[in-house]
Amino acid sequence: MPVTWRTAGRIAVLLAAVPLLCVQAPLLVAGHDVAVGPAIALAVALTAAVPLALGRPRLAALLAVLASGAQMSVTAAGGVGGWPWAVAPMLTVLLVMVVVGVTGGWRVALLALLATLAQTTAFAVLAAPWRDVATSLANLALWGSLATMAAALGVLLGRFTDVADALRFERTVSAEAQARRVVIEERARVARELHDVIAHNMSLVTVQARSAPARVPGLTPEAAAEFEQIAERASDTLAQMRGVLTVLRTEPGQSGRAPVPTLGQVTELFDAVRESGQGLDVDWRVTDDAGVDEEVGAAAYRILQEALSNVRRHAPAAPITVEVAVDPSDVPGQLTLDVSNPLERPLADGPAGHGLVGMGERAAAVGGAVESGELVPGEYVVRARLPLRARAGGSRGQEVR
Amino acid sequence: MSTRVVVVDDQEMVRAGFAALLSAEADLEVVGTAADGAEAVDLVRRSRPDVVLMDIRMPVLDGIEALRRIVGDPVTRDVRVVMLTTFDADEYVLDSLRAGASGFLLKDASAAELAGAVRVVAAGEALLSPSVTRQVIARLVDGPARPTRDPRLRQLTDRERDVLLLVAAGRSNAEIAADLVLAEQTVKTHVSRIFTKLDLRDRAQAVVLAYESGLVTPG
Repeated sequence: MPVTWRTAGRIAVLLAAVPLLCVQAPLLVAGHDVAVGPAIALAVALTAAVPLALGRPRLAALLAVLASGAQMSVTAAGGVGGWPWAVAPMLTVLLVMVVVGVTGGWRVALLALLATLAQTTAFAVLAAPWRDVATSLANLALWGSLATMAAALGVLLGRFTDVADALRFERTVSAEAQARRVVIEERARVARELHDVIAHNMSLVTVQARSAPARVPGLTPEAAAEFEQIAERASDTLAQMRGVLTVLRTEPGQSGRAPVPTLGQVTELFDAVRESGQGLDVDWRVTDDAGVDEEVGAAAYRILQEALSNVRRHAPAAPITVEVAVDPSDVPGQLTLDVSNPLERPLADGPAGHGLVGMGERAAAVGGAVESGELVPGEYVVRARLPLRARAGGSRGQEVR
Repeated sequence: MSTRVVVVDDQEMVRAGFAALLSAEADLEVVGTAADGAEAVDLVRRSRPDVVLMDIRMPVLDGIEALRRIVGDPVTRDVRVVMLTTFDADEYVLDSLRAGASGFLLKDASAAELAGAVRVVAAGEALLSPSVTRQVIARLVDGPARPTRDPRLRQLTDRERDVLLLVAAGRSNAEIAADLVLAEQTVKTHVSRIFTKLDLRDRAQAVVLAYESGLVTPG
């Protein structure tokens, strides 16, 4: 938690009140000939205004004025200490003034200041017959200057705290907005790629249907007409799909000049890692007839790509272990991807990066899930589980710390 | 003599389908197919077709890079290349037109459109699908029209500029001849002079240049 008024400031005020409570009664007894009982009562009343000021500034100001008035009355008769303000009560009420300035604002602080000044003046004047007025007024002047500074300090601290709070709130809000934006962007990216796959397949349907009469000998005219209708319908659907993709494509360079990748192409990713000089150990347990859907293969490729590039970015010296497997005894089958590397130091807390969000979205789009973090002690692991046949609505993945 | 065609696509179905549709036309002959850009560059060098139909998105070497190699090679620079695409709004369509493609064709084109495209491009007298091509270029060429025109345009005579405007509007040589009341042969001479002066391969690049130089403004 950051060091602010709301945390450290409050604790400091409460700590300061403790010695003030302890020294007040003895000083009043020794310096002003106050009886022990009233001295303790005064000390408690004055000091109570400090914690009270944290939550109820007006009430605290009132209590401080009344308690200090009581102290002035009790000590009016004589004694060697300062008067109307005795030293310990003065320090206590100064602290109250600071806190009231912070919590109550300048109006309450000013009212409290004026009230104490009026009260002190009244005591100095009323006690003139038996007390030296000049000494009393010097005490009043001392109080006035110190109390003004204390109140001003409190008001400024309050303003500063408000600004700091607003700033912190603003930061939280924009961090949340940023996180939401990352998720939305990743979702759009995934949607775009899925639509791309569909459009591509749709164009294959069109070509196949269109060219059927030219490729298949002996088609009846009826069958040829049927094929042409299929081609037309697929072509119409494709036109609609183009509209969707135009909406989804928001920045240049997104459509890509390479086809949507397949699971078989991940060897390119492995080669790239090895060429960069980073150690890579691949355990590949997927047979060619495993029946991995096209979308699932593309998702697996992108997840591996992201996971590998994350390791290269954050731990370029760490050896990487990759495990890709389809367990044939598993029904209905699932494809598991494990990318792990030894951790050089413990994981730092922080928001999930773009890459992690992206992997989660890709897995979710085909009905799978991704978890990442220190899944094995001392190892950073990204683990994806994807169904062999794509289905919508997997969980969006989670970060394990 | 029939027009010789090569079909390049990473999908077996597209290669077989387009080859079958084109072979059904008496004046067209498919001399080979390739599955990626690298194979295509090789095949085109060996078989010297008149027209190549080539997918943009392919593994190993993508269609635009293969196109650059084909038009950059003196041996194959006269080969006309039509790009195949699933998406007409693709920014790579513009890239390929800039790089020297003669036009583009959607993969779901009908048999008649497919054969027609090969014939138009082989003849070089007109722009392939003029209205669609112009729309796509107008949409993809970004930024407002520059007030100062491309300095290259100053090399043109007034008459040549008139012809270029009409080429950019998608008019064929025959149509331009009728518009300007000229012999078609004269228009042909103007067009080839414009292409030489501006270092253009094809009418498609003339349209891109006209938009990019501000000679023609979108809309």
